[in-house]
Amino acid sequence: MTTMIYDLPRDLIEEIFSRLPLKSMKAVRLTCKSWNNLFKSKVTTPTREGETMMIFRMMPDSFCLMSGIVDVDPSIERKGQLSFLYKVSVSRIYHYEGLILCKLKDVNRVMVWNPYLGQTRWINLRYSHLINGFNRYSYALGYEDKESCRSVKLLRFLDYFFHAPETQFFWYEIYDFDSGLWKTLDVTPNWGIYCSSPSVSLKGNTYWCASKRSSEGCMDHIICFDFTKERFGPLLPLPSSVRDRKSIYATLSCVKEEKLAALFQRPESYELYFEIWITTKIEAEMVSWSKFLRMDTGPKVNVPGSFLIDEEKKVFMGFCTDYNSDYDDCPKKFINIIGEAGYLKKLDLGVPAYQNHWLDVCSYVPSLVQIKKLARGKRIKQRSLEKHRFDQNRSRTLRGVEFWKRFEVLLEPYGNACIVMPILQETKHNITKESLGVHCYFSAVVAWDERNVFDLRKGNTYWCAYERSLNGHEHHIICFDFTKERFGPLLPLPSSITDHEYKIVTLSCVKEEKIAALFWHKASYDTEIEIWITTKIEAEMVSWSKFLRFNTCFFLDTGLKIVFPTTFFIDEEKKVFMGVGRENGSVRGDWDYDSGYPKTFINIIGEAGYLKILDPGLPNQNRWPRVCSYVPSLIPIKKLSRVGKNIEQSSLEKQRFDQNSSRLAAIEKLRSGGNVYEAQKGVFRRVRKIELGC
Amino acid sequence: MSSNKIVLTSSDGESFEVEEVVARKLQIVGHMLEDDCVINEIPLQNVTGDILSMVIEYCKTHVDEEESEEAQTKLKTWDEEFMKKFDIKTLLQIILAANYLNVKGLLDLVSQTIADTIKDYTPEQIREVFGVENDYTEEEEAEVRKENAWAFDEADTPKP
Repeated sequence: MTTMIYDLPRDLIEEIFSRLPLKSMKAVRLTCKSWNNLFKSKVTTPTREGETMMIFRMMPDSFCLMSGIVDVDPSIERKGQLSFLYKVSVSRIYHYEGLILCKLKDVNRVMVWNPYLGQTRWINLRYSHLINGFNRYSYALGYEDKESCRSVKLLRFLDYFFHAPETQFFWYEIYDFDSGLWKTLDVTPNWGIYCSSPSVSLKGNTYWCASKRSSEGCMDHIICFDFTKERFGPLLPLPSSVRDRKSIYATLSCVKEEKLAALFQRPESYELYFEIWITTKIEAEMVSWSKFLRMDTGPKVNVPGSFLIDEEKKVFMGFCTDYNSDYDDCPKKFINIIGEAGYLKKLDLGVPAYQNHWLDVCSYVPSLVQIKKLARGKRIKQRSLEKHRFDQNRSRTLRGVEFWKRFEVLLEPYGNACIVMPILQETKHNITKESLGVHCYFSAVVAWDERNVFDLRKGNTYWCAYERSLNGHEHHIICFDFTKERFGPLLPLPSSITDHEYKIVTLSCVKEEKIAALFWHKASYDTEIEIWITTKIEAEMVSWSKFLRFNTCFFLDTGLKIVFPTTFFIDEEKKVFMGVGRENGSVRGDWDYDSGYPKTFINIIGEAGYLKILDPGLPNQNRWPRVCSYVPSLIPIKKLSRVGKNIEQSSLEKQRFDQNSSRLAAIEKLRSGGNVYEAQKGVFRRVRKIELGC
Repeated sequence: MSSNKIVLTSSDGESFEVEEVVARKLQIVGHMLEDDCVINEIPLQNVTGDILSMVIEYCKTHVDEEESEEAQTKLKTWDEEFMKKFDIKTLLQIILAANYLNVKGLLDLVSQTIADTIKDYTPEQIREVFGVENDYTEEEEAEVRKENAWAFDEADTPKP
């Protein structure tokens, strides 16, 4: 048997090729087409004088390299397309001195990419979640110059500095490319950096616009993270003349890998006015500025997501999206080149305009920094101190969910897979806080179909049930005791309910201590609802007291619709009910017919007809919203039996299992009767109805 | 030291009895041991006996990697000598095995060796050795040459 290199998986081929010197690539690329394609992910074009290289994200998995030349007649040229060997879906790119950090659709990892060497490195994140559908983590890449090589590091943080002091939360950590380990940073921030704030890399360190932690969101400073010392420097001032003015937009850029440039725009006239300053001196702990360019009469420019300047030619280049064009849905992407005296050139980037995304572009300087180097052979383990700190922080984030008083509903929108989609109360904070005073904390999700299952603190589970002999309705509840591994007796529901014509019951758990039962009136289950709470509940006994009763008729004009049967939650102290509802198209006029499905709402109902309908911002879907309350738990579920001891099921159990499964199969056959289709040799044959024995 | 023995069996039925510490150098085995799904004998479906014996030889030598410079140099020399034994075809089989068995150190070593072997090859030589077919038309080939002419030239110029 001979092994052709084609037999190698692509990652192995890449592994080999990444070790080839540049000069060997020519031969390899000329070998055959597929190997040439392999190299399309590599950029082999260093910068020439006066040329600026840029990388654009065009699609989630493809990028384009452009070169801009600023001269008497500025021009832009497309150099080529870059794509990856693997299927990658990139949501944002950030450039850090030759390395590109790709934020991915997959929130559990990030990818670092050296286009020049064609290397990629995946970094698994230790914890991750989306908040309100957004990835709120900030990242920065930097390096420490060691004797032998550059040691690359990745900084990652989550900082809720804009919250009230008691609900602030921050977590800064750093990843070392050499060891492959994460480390929690010991910081006490006196700064605030918004997570969307773009950062700029300079000499291995990273700079952001920042505010004093105490101040109200005015980004009038910059701050540097020193990747060698692994700590933040002090807040450094922006130019004083700019700083005095309130509410300015500031954007940072890097000039020839040596200086920082800051662009300032006024919100009221950002299209016409801007000012650019350049650092005359910049270090982690000090900065001084000089004015570079100022424009106050136009030409019109957008707020650029990023910009570049050519210091000698006194030229500014800003990337912009032309919203005034004829194609408002897919605006064209441009570069504005503006010099002194209003000199302007607008260059079409020629980026296909099929996507209406924010222009994702970064300037690019090739780098030879290796990112693939991993410690040889030895797997280094996280130190126990770091483990401890990580666990601490993780439980803090978990508690934070409760602490931040967020109203968090998680649904399972896509089929059976258990997809967690947290919708935090962030944007609706005011509504909840002012009008309700209720602290709702639901989170996490299980694809849960049974409406009546609830778990109490004792580890037992309760259902609604009825006597087997009666073909009746659910007039009882029953408990499965997981300690004794048996069901308890049928326990009564409140007698007033069983006497009357209420019958459709949904259970909920109150603070892990009590059970609440919701009853719908038989005749008009849409309108009349009564809720009872247990005063005492054990596996073998229960007693009830009435909690709340309301008639949704009173709310008809609001379009309230409570979904039946559903999950609900109650707040005992505040006497408030919360249930998932769906928009009723016939009553409420603004049903979104475009998507065809009704919206999902949270109804909050209190005494005396108090009502609030909250929109958790979930996608409209043609299915019951599935919600469950969630309380973080520390119970491990991964523990398996130890080495060697392979305990087998007892033969009695095997026998009982076989018995039951064959009985089940027989019953299923009977139940489906004459409508069974059996696939035989690809042909569907109707199976005759089996006679029932009774 | 624990002398727990583990038997590794290759796809062609050859068995190797090795110490557990050596077997653990194959991360695939290490993970099996951690998952407790191992008794004493592990069948390794994707690797033949002659290749497995070389992987085991590597693992035995690297079983305790010492930090000291002297030990490292010694290992490095051994690695070089070890690699010299194989032709390119065998190297390719070893890299596949190292990948499957998840032996990081060997994977690095073989990748580097293969890269060093092919670095001075012409396209024709590469095609011959690796059994790759030239699927370029003349125009396409010229295009690729042109596309990257500048980069190629740069790379060909010796650095000062």
